[in-house]
Amino acid sequence: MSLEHFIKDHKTAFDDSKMSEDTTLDFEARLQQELHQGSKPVRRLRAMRYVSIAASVVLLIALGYWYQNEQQRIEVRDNLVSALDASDTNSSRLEAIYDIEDQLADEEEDEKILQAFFKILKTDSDANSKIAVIDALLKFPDNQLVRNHLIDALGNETEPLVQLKLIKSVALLREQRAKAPLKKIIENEESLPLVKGNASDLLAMLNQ
Amino acid sequence: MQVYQMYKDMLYNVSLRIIINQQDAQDMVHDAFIKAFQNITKLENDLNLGPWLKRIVVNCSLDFLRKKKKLSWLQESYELQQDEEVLTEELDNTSLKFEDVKKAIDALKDKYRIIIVLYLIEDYSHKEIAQQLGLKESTVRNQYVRGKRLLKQQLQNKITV
Repeated sequence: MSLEHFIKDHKTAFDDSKMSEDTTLDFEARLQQELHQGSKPVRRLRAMRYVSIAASVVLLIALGYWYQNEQQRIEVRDNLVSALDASDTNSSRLEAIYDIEDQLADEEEDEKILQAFFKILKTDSDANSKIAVIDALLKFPDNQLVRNHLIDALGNETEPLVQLKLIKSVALLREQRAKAPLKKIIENEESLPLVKGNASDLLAMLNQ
Repeated sequence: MQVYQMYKDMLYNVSLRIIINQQDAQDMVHDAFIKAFQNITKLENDLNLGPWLKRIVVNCSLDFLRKKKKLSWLQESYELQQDEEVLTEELDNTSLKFEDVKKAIDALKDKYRIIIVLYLIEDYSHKEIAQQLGLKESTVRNQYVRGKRLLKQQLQNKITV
């Protein structure tokens, strides 16, 4: 059974918490207050005054904030890469990869981050992390270093799920240099039939 | 007050799954009831009262997180490539315990937990979640796949420990 079905099947079991009975009195009092409250325009005017004060403050600090922003960006990047290096479980590593991908989404590829990702691709044995790294690397299809590492990984990888992901990736990149690692996969007796099939299809496509 | 007594626990559980904090979840239930009472004329069919209240408490809870800036990840979310779902091996159903799954969901970051909860437990579609959070549907799908992967990873760790 998939995790998805397990959760759906146990949906009602999630409703196992009860609200404290003490809150009923609080609610009654609040209901009375809310339903018999004073005029709304007065509240709106007060709120508008607070908003205008807040807006002034925001304008004043915006300039200083902008100045600090760049330094913070570098600090964030370093912290994210450190978190990735320090992650000692598969789930914390996966989460660190996603954090990097999210927080640095709109930026150019960063050498430090790419190296951290390449390291996972080469050494890490966890399939989910590798798949997440491949997704992240595919955002830079024109980067030669990225393409090289994906092809190298295709030649060295033995985990079927990651092999399939890499085959799909080099197919997207239409990378002719993938032919050699693809042949290696096809000729390897230990490769799964599904992986061999995908590799053969891609090889045929590249040979066209 | 009869309606309150009948639905408060259901709404409390919905809110608690979204904002985790018990006190805040209780406040959200109260906010939701007040809003519901003020807008009761908008309810077209009494039979829909439960789902209608649920929607209101979900809205209140998400607004609360927005005000607390706990939904700042929405600005970080962006259009990703369609992330095809690559499943690792199915979890062993016999060793899967409901309590572990619940704890693992609660331990997820907001950006994954909220989408997982709304989709799998509250029966929102990806499209509805996207509208609710102001995201693209493809981004919601992607975050959902990621969240599920993280959840599986956590549970696999638990099983192998």
